Amino acid sequence: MREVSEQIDLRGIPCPRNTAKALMFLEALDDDMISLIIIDDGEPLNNFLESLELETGYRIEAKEQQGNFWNLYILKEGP
Amino acid sequence: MKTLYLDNAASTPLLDQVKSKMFDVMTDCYANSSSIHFAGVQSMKEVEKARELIANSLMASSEEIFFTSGGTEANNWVIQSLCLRRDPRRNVIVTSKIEHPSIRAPIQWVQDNWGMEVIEIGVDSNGVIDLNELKDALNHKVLFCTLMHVNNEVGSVQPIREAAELCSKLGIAFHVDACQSFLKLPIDLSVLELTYLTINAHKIHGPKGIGALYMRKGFELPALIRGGGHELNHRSGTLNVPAIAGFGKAVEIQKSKPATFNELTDNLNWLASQLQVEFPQCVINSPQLNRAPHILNIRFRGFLGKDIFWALNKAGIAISNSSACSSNKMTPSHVLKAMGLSDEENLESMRISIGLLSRKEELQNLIHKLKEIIK
Repeated sequence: MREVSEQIDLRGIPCPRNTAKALMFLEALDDDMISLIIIDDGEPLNNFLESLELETGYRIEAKEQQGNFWNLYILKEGP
Repeated sequence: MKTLYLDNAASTPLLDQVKSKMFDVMTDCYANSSSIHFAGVQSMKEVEKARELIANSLMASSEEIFFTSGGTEANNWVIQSLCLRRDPRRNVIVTSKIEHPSIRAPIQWVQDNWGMEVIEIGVDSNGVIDLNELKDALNHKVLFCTLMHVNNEVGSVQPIREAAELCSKLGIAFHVDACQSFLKLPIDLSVLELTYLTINAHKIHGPKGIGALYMRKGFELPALIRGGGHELNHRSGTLNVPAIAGFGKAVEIQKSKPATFNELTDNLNWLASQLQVEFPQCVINSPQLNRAPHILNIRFRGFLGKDIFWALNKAGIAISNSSACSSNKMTPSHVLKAMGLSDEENLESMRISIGLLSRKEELQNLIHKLKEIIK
């Protein structure tokens, strides 16, 4: 997998603020960038993934569980 | 009747782009920003965008910005929450003699009801606090210090950087009411050693009913308003998303125009010099130097401020002859009294405050009208 260009740590931030911040973060990226989103396990992860499904132009390249949080590697494909 | 609004220290007109932003958000982002569906997330995104804009303007992080219903709520939150933690060994509040009622009233309340002791630092004839007096007042018994950055009645600028350093050395929490200074004077919270800062939107051409409290990381205050756990459990209540978006837009517009301070200063200085040239009986109560760029407190010897106020009002010109909160009372201003003005001089005084939309031609109209009134 390519190197991560930008990352955001959303641990401890409740829903839906974490989802809103994650989506804003992704929107600000350039096309073809890989980002790392760190997010709490459970509802935060699930809610974000549900919201991401409604967006176009993003692909989850990898997901790693790290105890009670997840590392999500997301490619911004562009239009 | 063509009107002229010169009471911007009381409140300001919305900028067109702020109105548009608020209308769009009101129309399109009606979902509760706490809802986790797509509509709620859309509303929350507007909140977070505004929060980031506000945080960036203060060189703070967005996690340190908490929305309130305005400056008054933010000030009450700080004062009452800090006093909840009081103990008899640390029960002193240090403030100044010239604070806004939204600081004076809660301080009076905690003094009357919770036994807090209060030390009020005096000001000089320019309306600026005595730093030596402040230094003497700060000790291990002080729970917190609260000072306004710019006085709302005369526009005097307080030495908050020095005050913050004094408080920081002693581990004393320091709160600044920056409602009159936000976006008019530089505030860099990455270097200013203060703990809490109050700002609001309606003084910067944003909407009424929205403000924010900056709380330095690690110094978060317990909530006074409990409920759904909004604002990370710090301040419950469904967020006013359109107002927050308007707040953010007002900040965004003005931060992109760094010439604002110079324009305001030029216009105010022009007005001050014209008043002194045209009216020998005019006295400027505001400091000549180191004053806010938008507030001018003046008096005309031998004329009651309220008489000039009403004459201008009849002519469609809005000014203030006291702070907005107390402008329906005819009691002498505590600020002018603290600066050493007599009761007579106090009642002669009035405040003119300009904004981003004020034009020199309008100030010329004010001068013309004053010439008709002051004979």
